[in-house]
Amino acid sequence: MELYKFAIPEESRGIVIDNVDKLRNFEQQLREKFYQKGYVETLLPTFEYVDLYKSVYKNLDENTLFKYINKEGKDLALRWDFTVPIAKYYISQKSDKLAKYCYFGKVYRKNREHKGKNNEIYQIGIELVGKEAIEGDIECISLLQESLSIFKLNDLKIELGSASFFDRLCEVIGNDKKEEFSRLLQQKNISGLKKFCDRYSIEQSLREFVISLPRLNGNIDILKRVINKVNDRQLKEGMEELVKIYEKTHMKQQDIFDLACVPNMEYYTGIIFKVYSKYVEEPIISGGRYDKLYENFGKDIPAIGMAYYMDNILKAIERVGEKNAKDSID
Amino acid sequence: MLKIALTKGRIEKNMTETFEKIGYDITNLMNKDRELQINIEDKLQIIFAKSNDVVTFIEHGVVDIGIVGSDTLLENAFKDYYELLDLEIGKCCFAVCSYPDYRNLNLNRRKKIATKYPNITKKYFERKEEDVEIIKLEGSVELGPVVGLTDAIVDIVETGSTLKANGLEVIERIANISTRLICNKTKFKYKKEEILNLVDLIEKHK
Repeated sequence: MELYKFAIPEESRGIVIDNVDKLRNFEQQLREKFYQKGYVETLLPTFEYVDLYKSVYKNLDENTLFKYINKEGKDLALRWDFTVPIAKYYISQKSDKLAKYCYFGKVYRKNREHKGKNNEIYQIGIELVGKEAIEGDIECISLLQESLSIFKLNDLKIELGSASFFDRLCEVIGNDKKEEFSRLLQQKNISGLKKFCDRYSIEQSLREFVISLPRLNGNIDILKRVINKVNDRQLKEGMEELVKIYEKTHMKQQDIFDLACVPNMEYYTGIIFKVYSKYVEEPIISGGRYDKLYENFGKDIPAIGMAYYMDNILKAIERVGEKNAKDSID
Repeated sequence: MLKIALTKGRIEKNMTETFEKIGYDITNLMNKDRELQINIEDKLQIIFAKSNDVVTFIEHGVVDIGIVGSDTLLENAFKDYYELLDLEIGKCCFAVCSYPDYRNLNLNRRKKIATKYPNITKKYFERKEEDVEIIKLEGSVELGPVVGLTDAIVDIVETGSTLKANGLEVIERIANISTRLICNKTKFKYKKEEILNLVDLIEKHK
């Protein structure tokens, strides 16, 4: 029989039936929550200029884009993310007003083949434009916390990191070594950081601090202990900002901080956060402050946003179900 | 209990010694026959896998920790893990190897290079601003120049005895290799104490 009669292309994700009701249910609850808080729903185009993404993501791996050449001879890509097209839309409005957007839909990213990965990723998210740190951060984290109960997942952890703490850290180490340092820090590479400090003869007390960074990924007590030990004013401020968010939003004891957090997008400027579930190998939600993003469009506007990775959330729920079923048999 | 994926072969042997030095009861490891999964006391659950599969298992979070050579990590496209420790065992290096006269080779065509590691090879020659044709071989890569299929190889060199026996030698070293301990990021958030405890023990007894 012909292939197309029974198979889908390698690029496609399988047809989803089992969890569609759950997905739509979560979607509806999130939509209500976002609407309540004044977020306007956007329906974004499926096709975008490749140049748009490249101008923002300087290190973008173009192989992850689904590209084609249109009739103008321009490179187009299937929507790779929501944040950048929304930023473009906001700029086109030519106003500096506060704006709140939410979105529901798929992004398309070419993943490596035969590794059990999807190329069609269902995301739900918000963008809060024109509200500065720390007020905007608190608003965003509070909304995040409120929304988490929708999924009825236990053992979730919110993790906070700080791009300003990281930037200052690079300054202290020496910005000429930034690339190597951030690679090691991102890997929490204890051996690598030791060798790095030896190679560049980093002074003893800074060396100890740098080597301890991979271990400084834990609850509020760890953060407070580090604040007391660190003398550098800007590093302290970066951490104190996190404490403030923790307190103002009444985060929980199980929530954590990562002082070895390295911004994975070059536009992050302030807090960076992720939500983890014990049951999935990747974060289920991620977000952060990106006051520099709008600079790409020639405007200085603060913004913060977050995206819910619905596939990962559904995966977590499925696995909790499997575990409960297994436990009840045992 | 921590789940560990161990690369079969030499890394497995080295780690068995390390676990013994730490003071774990390794009877199960020593008596292993064809089992793919073994428990050490009630502390570690170990699975044995080929090196690239160790990385795949880490990617999917089916194990907490992977012990794997940095050659595999360099070649593999998945990078989103923590690389906590360099075990400084299984040390060797990537190198370009060929017959001695490769150095004076003057060709009117692209050089042909045989390798099991096309990504590393591609990056290396890009850095050198050289355009080469890569031919992927799965077994003894040295055969490339020996049978006249390629001009040189990019491969792991340990002692260099296979090279020597076939009249080949190291032309240029590319990168050092050693065994690494890697960890799934989410698992680290939930099992940090346990993981770091094992990391410290291994570092002390490596």
